[in-house]
Amino acid sequence: MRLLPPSEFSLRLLGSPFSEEMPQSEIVSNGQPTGKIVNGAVLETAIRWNDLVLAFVTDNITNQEAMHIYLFDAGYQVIDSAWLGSIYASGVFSLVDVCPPNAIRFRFLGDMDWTLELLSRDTFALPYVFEPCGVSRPFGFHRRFRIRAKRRQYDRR
Amino acid sequence: MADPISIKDCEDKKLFDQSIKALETQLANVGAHVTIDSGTRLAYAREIKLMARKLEADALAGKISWGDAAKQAQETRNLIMEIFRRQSTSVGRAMAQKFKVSGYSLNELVARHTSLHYGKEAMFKNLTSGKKDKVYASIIKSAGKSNQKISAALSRLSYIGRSLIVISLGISAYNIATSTNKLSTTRAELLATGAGIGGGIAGGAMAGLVCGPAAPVCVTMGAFVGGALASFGIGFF
Repeated sequence: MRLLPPSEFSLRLLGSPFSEEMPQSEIVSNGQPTGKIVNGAVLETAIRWNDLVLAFVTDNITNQEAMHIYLFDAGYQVIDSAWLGSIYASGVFSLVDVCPPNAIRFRFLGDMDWTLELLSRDTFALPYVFEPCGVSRPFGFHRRFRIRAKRRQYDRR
Repeated sequence: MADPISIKDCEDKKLFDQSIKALETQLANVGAHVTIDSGTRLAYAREIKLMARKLEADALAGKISWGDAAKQAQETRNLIMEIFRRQSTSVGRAMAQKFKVSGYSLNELVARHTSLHYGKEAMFKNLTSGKKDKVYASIIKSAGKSNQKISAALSRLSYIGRSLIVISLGISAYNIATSTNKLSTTRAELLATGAGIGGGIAGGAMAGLVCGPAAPVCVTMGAFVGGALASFGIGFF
């Protein structure tokens, strides 16, 4: 499990950054365009996990920032995804920690610590239930990662 | 002499009717909350867009520099957010406070937009003044953009809220139309619906005082209970 540098994995914005349309980007792997298109404009961070790549991508919309999380297979097909956003808040991404073997802690929406747990195989999950507030997932009964949110703990000393 | 059982039956029926009425008015209560909050958020997005367009026009006309316009876009956004937050219901405010207002600082925005336009390796301080202006213009443009997925969710919520109010009004209209004493029923319907909405708003505000502002579950419960109690209580007058 390691962070991928831009030279290995990056996004190339399609269209103008000044466009009013929702942004889309092409995946660039080792400097080579792959032809694979995803929603979003800014690659916040990318992490390699076994032969998979996990990418956190924001839309670059300052006042209503939302985030797409994609898990790609070796051919950059999306095998699971999630969308984080809220009508009440704009997100700001920061990576807190990469916790081997399979967890990533980050901050995005609100005063919460978010944890993404990668799953080594398709795991049954009920759609729309047990997802934290602000997380939206495509309809399906299988997941390759789970997201949890916990109110941030402050040191009271 | 009246049969005591039938008097009790009559009282029970009245209690049952009032309970059902209190539940019916919750449609209007929920509808009003959802309509107010989604409307407020949509108005916030519109206002932000207008602000960004005005700053862009001012910078293009040379009235202010692009750098100042970007700084103002950042500062004005917080002001607009605060104004619209005050116009939200207590439930909407509790949700907003749970998530907290967060946003990138101007420096962070400058770094993000520099890298978006000129690559990850680019440093803002090394850019020419023309390129710097382009970065500032990009920040202003981005400040005025709406996230279409969030806008769609808000529009759906607004539609749901208005639909709930229409359903509630429809039930009231049906009750009035099928009543033998239309004047009395109209008065009762108006009072119950008004009390349901007013009680909901007051209940939410009181729950906010008890549980703290950033407790959306508690505030929502307060709004629901407040609306039901007010509607139930008004039935005795």
